[in-house]
Amino acid sequence: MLYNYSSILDSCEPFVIAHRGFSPQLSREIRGIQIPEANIIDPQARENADFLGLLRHLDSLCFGPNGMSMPSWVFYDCAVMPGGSFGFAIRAQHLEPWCLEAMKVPAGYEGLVPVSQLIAIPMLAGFVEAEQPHTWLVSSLESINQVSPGFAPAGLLKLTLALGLQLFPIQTLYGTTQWRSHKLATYVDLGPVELVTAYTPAHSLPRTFSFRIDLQNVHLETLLAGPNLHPLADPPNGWIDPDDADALIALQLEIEAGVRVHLVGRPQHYGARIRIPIYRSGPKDTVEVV
Amino acid sequence: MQLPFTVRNPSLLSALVPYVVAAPFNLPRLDLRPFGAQTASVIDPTRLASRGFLDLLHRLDGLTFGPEGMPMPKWVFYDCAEMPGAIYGLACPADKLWPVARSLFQVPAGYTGLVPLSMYIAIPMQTRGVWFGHNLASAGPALRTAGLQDMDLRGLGALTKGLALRCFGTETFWGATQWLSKALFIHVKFGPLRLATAWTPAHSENETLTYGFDVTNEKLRASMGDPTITLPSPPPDFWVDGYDTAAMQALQDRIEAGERFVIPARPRHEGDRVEVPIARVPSWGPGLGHGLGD
Repeated sequence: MLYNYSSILDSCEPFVIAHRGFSPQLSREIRGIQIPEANIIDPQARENADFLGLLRHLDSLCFGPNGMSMPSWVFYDCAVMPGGSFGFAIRAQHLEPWCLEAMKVPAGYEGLVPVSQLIAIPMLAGFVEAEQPHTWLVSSLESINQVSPGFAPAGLLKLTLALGLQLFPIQTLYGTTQWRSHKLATYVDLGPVELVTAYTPAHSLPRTFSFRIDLQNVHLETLLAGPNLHPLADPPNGWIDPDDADALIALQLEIEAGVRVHLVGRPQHYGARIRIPIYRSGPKDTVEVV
Repeated sequence: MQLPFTVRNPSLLSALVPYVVAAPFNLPRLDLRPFGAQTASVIDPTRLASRGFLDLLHRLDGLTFGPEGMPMPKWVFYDCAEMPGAIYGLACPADKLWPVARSLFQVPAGYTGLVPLSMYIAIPMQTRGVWFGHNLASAGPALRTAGLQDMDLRGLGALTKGLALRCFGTETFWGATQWLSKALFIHVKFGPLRLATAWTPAHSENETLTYGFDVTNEKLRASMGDPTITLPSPPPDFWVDGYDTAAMQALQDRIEAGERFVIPARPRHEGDRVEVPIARVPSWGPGLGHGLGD
């Protein structure tokens, strides 16, 4: 399965950000890929300031255009202290000059330059009869390729997600993303995505959806293989236009009324129009099929 | 609202009611009657109808942290508070709120719900019972600045944090604050604070310290002003000037080298200077405390 991702594994190194209380709980090997001890980054150690600064820049490049750059205090208080980060990085000396410029790598820096990252944090819901949580929230998923295509090998986002989900002890995954985000297709490849919210005014961008996925091995395999249709996805019985706020609000009200809604396929593009396949089920005997 | 002990400002208990913001999947893990104080309202952030209250909560954050440059974007509220953890606070019914306060909060005409005057946000860490707090907001300073001198909201921040930690089931607490932050005066009410960092480049402000303590009922009651409880604390060995970045980095180096320190008491002010007491304590092991390596 990982053969298709060999160019990433040949040119990039995995890294983990975890404080000293969490680090010992994490494996140094995922699917046969070793994570060097030197690449386990303690966010509380002064010596890691340069790397963390580069990671801050990567996040700013990826989320700045949406007005959602992560302030550093959020990165510390809400990401790497409660949870952890997994990603890939490239040694500075292996980067072309334009890449060094794009990432604003300081002159003389010879360490790792991060090119992707998944941040996961525990959720209170996951502490049912367990000392360690099994329910986690993906609070960030990013790859340099989304803003600078060709910087790193293709497939980086998917491999980061697939391996990160195995590094952290996640059984149930929650997340939020924007309806127009390219990451929607990646999450759908992971499995049928159950919507928690379809329209989220509590978020900076109301056209954000929240989701839940119960992870199984088949999901991770499918994510890496990237088939056109997930084997566990029901056939769609409706479509949603991600640019139609009224439709999203209507879908949200259905969810609040008890209808279960899953995203079951990648967005379909027809010129300027986009349609996303959904599957409605739940307590209602009949549901309207759009 | 009633509590089985005396608090610093009992008038808060009669004027305000507790609320909780929690998603339905997190709600069963919370204590909605911390110290017997019944939560008056539970707000579900995943429902459209909660929008009005959550907008007011965002406004409270802006009134509290805007001047310090660290207000929370709404997406942080959602992704880093409401989805993984919870928000606990005290609120006033809109129809009982002072007109100037209504204006300050930009309460919409016709709104009849609760207006949050304080909130505490924490999210669970990787071990059961260990939480990281990241927001303590109180409308008190903003209302005083607006000329509402007669409103007695003294002790609101400490009361909110004390009840919140009990609501969340916190056994060990960690947080981060700046050496010059006024909130440090509230945090030390929980007793001596373990120092996990003294200089924190990963944070927006390098001059940030990471602190923590094991939560007990006595500490919570003491923080809220129960006069019957006195918490032991060691005498300071030295003081760190809140502007002395070299001293912070030197202290950080000592922590990374294995020495252990606590902040045993409140900072002292001398003119423009702020000095924070530090006591060296015996090392209990390679870690920094429960949740950060024992």
